[in-house]
Amino acid sequence: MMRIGQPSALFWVACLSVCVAIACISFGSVSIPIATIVESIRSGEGVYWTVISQLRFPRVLVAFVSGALLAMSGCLLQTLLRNPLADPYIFGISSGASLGVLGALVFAVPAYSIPFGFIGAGLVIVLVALIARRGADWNPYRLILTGVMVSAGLNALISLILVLSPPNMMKGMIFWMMGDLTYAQPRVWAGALAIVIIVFGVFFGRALDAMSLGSERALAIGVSVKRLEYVVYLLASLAAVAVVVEGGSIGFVGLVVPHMIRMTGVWSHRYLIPMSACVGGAMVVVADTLARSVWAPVQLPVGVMTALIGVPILIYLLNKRSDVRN
Amino acid sequence: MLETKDLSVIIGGRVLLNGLSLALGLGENWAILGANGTGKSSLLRLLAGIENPLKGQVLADGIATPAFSKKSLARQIGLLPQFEDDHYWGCVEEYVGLGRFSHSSGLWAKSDDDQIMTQRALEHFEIKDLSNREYRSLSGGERQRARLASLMAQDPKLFLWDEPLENLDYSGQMKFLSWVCDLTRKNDRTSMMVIHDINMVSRFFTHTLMIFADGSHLAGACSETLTLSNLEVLYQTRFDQVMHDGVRLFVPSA
Repeated sequence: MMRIGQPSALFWVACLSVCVAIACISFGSVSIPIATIVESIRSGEGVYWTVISQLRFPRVLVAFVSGALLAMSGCLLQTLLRNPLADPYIFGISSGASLGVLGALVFAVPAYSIPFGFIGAGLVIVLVALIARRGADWNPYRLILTGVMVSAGLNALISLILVLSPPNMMKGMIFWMMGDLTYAQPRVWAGALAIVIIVFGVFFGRALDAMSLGSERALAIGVSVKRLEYVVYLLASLAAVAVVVEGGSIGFVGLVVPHMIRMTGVWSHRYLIPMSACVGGAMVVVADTLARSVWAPVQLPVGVMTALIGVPILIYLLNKRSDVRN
Repeated sequence: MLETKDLSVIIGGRVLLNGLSLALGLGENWAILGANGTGKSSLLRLLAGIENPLKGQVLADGIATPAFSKKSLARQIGLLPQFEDDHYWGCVEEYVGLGRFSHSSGLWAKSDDDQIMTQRALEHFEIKDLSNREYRSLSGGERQRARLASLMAQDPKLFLWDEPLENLDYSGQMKFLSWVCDLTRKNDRTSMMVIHDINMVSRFFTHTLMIFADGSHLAGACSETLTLSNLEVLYQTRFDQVMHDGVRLFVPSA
């Protein structure tokens, strides 16, 4: 396999993901040729301009930012927990947010669904940290188990809400829980958070690399592990919440994207985190484009698409990888 | 260099080592001997400032270790723990270069010093031709050499090693121990090592700290501490003593 340097890999992936995102603006229930897109952007008027500026562009933007946040969150958590199965929802953050959002719908205050989602997720973040962190250090093992337990408990409550809710609301709720960007809006704070995490990854990349060896070794090398662990936990959790309150639990991206990138030979967190953002963003944009166009005008949940795209890619890479090894 | 005052190793409320007052001087090469589970690794963690003592103090140049920032402490004291997590995906050169973390002031660039020290460590442990190999793909012995090289690159004043001979073949063990011996003597560094091979200790080391199962200890020059009777109490095993090339060697006997 040809190896290119990590910086150039990042450069090409960034370019490619932006191109993919732009290309996806042209697809949808009505496909708009690229030339028409350029033309209508230049003129700034017409039906196509309205479709692009009011519908397509915000949708692509929110999909890209969501994917970027999920992939970076997964990447940070896999390092924090030294566990390849970690994903943004491992602590039950999505369950907490879902419970808040669904609660807002059930109590007929849908306008407050986002603040409710934040409150639910915030409680989970604090609860998991308090239970897992008792006095001593962050034990990855205890952290994972605590998260899995908390999320199991919350999922039971979510099922309860679903069962007790009126049948006409149930389909919408289930749809949203699978991950659905139909009603999602681009938010400034989500974009700002993505940029903060990229900057954090670039500047603290070496410390995160050292963290991969475990907290004892990282401390001996000179990393302020405790502080770093708090920041990583908080950033990864906030990233997950920012996505879930808008688009539900879009699965698979956070788990799979970091592995896909590591398998291509990029491993240093300085490059791994920005590259996760690009690949995760592009993946969700493509998945969302498929979700809104394959069955148009019916829209499918984007979370289903991310899994359908991600599974074959990862299996392909895994097989290719073992060839290289032997 | 490093001093402990009335230091105790306490794990889960159990006192493994009590009242250790020790001064490590420059140029000294210490071995820590003791049966399994007597708190040797925990002692190293306390000495390295990775954990703060529950009772007693560890002083580096007269200042208690919790007062240092992690980075400045790592320039003074370096520890190579026995185990680490297996989640590192980088190449060997970058792995060894991680040892330079505490020296890099900039967040991004590697200084010339970092490059030189990393290359020197790779050459010294004969893994330079593995530089671009993935660390995960190495054999146990090669990994161990990369681990040792990373502490060499870290270049602290006090080297702490936890069973560093693990997975090394005889040539690797001999080269490593004679390097540590030279390093301490010529460059005024101090080394302290948890090790189970008493004959290597007898040959290469200047001082010994013995930790007994009852929590007591014995510290001093090898010539005084490394005796048949002490070893028999320490390991609850009978030994025969042999003189070879002017070095006392100990053979376990039935």
